[in-house]
Amino acid sequence: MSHDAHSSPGHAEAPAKPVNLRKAFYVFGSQLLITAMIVTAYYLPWGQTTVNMVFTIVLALCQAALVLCFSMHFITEKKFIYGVALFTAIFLSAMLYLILTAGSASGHLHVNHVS
Amino acid sequence: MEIPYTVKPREDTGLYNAKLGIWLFLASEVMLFGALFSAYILLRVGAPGGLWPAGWQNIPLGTLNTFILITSSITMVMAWASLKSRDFAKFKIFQGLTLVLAIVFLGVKMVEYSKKFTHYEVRLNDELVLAEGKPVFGKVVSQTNNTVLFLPAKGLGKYGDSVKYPSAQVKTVVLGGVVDGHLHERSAEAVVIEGRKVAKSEDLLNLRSREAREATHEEIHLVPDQIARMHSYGPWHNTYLACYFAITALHALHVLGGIIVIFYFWGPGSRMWHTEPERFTNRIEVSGLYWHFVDLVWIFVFPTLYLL
Amino acid sequence: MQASSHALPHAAPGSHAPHAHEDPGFWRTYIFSVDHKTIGIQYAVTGLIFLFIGFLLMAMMRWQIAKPGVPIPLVGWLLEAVLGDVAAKGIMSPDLYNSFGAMHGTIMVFLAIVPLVVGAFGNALVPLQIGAGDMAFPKLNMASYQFYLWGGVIMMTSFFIPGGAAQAGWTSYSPLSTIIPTDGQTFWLFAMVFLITSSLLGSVNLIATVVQLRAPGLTWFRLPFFTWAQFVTSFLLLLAFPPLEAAGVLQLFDKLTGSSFFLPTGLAVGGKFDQISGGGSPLLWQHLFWFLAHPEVYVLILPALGIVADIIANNTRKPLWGYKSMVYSALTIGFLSFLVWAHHMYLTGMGMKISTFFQTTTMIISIPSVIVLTCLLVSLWGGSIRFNTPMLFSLAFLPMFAIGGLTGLPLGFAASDIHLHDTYYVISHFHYVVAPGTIFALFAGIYFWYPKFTGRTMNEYWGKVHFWLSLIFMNLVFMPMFAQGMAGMLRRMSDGGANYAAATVKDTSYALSNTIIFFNTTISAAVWLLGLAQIPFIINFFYSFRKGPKVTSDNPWQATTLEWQTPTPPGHGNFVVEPIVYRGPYEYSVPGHPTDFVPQNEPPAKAAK
Repeated sequence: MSHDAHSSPGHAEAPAKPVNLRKAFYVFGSQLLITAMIVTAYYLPWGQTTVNMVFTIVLALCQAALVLCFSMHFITEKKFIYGVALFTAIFLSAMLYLILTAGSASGHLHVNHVS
Repeated sequence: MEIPYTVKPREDTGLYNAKLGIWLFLASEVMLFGALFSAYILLRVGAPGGLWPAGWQNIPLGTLNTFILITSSITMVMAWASLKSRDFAKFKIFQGLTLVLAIVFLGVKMVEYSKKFTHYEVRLNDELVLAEGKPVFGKVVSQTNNTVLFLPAKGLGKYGDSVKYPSAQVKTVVLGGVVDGHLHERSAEAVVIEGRKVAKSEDLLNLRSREAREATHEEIHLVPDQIARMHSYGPWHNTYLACYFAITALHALHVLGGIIVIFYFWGPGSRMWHTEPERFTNRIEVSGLYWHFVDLVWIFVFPTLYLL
Repeated sequence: MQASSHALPHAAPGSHAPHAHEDPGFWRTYIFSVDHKTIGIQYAVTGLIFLFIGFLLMAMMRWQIAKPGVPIPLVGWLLEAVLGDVAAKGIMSPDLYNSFGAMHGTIMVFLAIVPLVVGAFGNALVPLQIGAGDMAFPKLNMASYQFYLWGGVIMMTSFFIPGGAAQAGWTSYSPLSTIIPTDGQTFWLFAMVFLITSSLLGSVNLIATVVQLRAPGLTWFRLPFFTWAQFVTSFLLLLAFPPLEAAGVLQLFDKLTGSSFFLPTGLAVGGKFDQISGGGSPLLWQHLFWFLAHPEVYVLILPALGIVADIIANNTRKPLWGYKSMVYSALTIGFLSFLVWAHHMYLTGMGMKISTFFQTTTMIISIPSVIVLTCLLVSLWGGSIRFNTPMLFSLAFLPMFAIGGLTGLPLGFAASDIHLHDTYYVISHFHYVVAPGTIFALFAGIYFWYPKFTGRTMNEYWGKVHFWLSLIFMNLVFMPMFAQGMAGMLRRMSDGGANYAAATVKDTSYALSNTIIFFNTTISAAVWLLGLAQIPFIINFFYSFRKGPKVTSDNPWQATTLEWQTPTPPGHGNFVVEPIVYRGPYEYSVPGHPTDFVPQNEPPAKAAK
């Protein structure tokens, strides 16, 4: 069904390079599954504890990793881009950590229990 | 001299210019949303215990939006894959699907916002039930064995000069509570809220509690003098909502920007396919990276603001 | 001395560049140009205009400081006519003083210096120095300039709205900036969104350009230090500006929607509790603001170091000493600059652990700065120094930057900062780094690269007059401020400290002495004389454009870097033939070579005897 490529004259005929879509569907399926898991955990009786908070954040990070590595095909890039991303990650973590520890009066990071 | 590496990648970096450009831009966006998230965390952690809202979001709508965005990410990948397979017709379909899903996302967001803006917290004035005559509304300044010092209400949030009522005249003093719910009607004579009445504002914070989930909702009629303060659930209401609106509004703005770009490449910009197919494919890849980033931000927004 | 090696054939006048295209017309050529050189000149002219405006604001403020309550001569009537009550009878009211002060800082930092060092010098020179035809994204470049221009227009417009411009300092601390009921701060925030967007787009462009468009043979450690400096600066802009944008959005929310991101519970304004939801944190604004604003000051200085480095290498006819150390130091400064921001916040009660952390990082970051300065100083040793105007400014930069940097040390320690925070000592410290620091580097750069872009040289005699007068008056302005600060004179006082002067206060143990107050007058006089000293420069700049002596070669300074190996001025696409680089950027006085410099793109065969 790739007739459009033939219809205009005067440009080089580049070969079609089909992309493996099976991986994309696995990623899609995993994303939906993880979202369902997170929302279900919220509704369970243990929904509002610290354990669930950690569980949710970890799952969210998994989703983020899936998007980053496969949808944004970060995993296929050369080393250089990893450098840019690593720099950003370091700055972000430093900023988050410092703002939180500098912001609270005692200088310690404490988490209020969610009632 | 022409600018090189606009389409073909440079060997040592493995990138063409636009791809490097978009990754750099996304790095700055990570810092932007990171700053907002750290602001949220700082305010949340710094808030006195038990005084932070919980369960104020509509989880089903949020989950729906999450599914919508994830699906739009996949259709974006399919659009790019179609171009790689030189299938322009399929590209048009998938790009169009992405566009539709993005617009639906914004639509759901609009519904959520409008629900917040019609949800009101009404703080009531104190009520003096007098031995004779109609009850008066206002604020009790002080109460002793002999007298009640009272500021009569003169409309929303306004009060007249203090009046001394001898105890004999006063049958009961009813301290004002809080009415919370959706606004049905608002006029000079009456305000009608469908919701519930609680003793104080703090009782409204935790909507996940048993009392909140089992509370009955009824139509409550109020006269203007009864109302001390009336706020809808906008960014002015409390810090949690301020954060919610700031983060989701900025995210929605990014979705809107994405819609404009996706539409442009679906419509007028797609002419480039016929003259420079590889460069056009790269453009779809680059806009796809941006779109996946928008999805990525939502993946963090949803649990943080809705669930935790 | 005529250059004898001219590696690059350049197009004879009248012939056209490899890809000729039809004339784009006035708008596309001068207003909406996508050529990096035109955009660089646009940034330069706009930036210099804003530099002048920022200077004028301070010149007027200095009258009020020296003679509080006295009508401003020459322009007092104009202020009253244009701004109304705040300048009643030509006297600068405290509100107007605060407004001018806030705008002086904002204009100088965001509308003048950064656009000049990055937008003008970066845009114009980086593609040339790396052998590219233009920036990686020319249309994005144009958009960057337009965002900057219109952001500047919004900033300037804020002076004329009811209530005037922003008044809470360039630092815009909440709650003050939020609760002032006028719209000046809102305009400031909107303008900042434009300016930040301009910076972000520009930095993406510059980084992509340096990474992707380097000429063949131009490896990373063959880049001129100027390009390295611009590269690190762009990373700082890219990653540090977004938190300020976030903070700006949040402050806009506070102002426009009544939210309380930065307003604490129980805030009372004018004795009455404010009707806000509360729960916010004023410290949050400070953290987000300084997270940008500290890397921002390195944005102000790194390109200046780059300019000075290139000019010193050229005018000593020697390679830079410690080029690699300088590069690593620049990278380290860039990285560390993100970890020191709270040294602006020592007096907020942060707690000892955090305070110690920031003191440590602040002390550490002074090390690479000193390394760069030392390398530049040592580069002078054994050089055949040519004392032309660019070199004079570059030489003066070194001790001036040293004073600025060294005086920062007592500010970096929390203990001494308790005494010096928010005093004139701070003002003097940062002005030394930016005014006789960065601005001198800017002047040096203008005199140095002027011939390449215009084909004519600026007048040397008047350049030297400009230099000596500026140097003397800059020091007369800022040196006494150290004394004033140490005596306890606070910043942002619209009466120049008259309320705390020995003449006013009975108990003279802490009052400001008569000498300290008298310095106000000498400093103000020096400021006005400094302004007059810029007149030769302004005339020289415009006059030489038409009437200056034409250069006789494409490389009048006999320099090695690639920007000098192009036609003068470089045409669209810059290089007629793509340059190939064979050596490092500072091959001066190579033993055995017939000339005392070897351009980077000269083929090796010719270099051999």
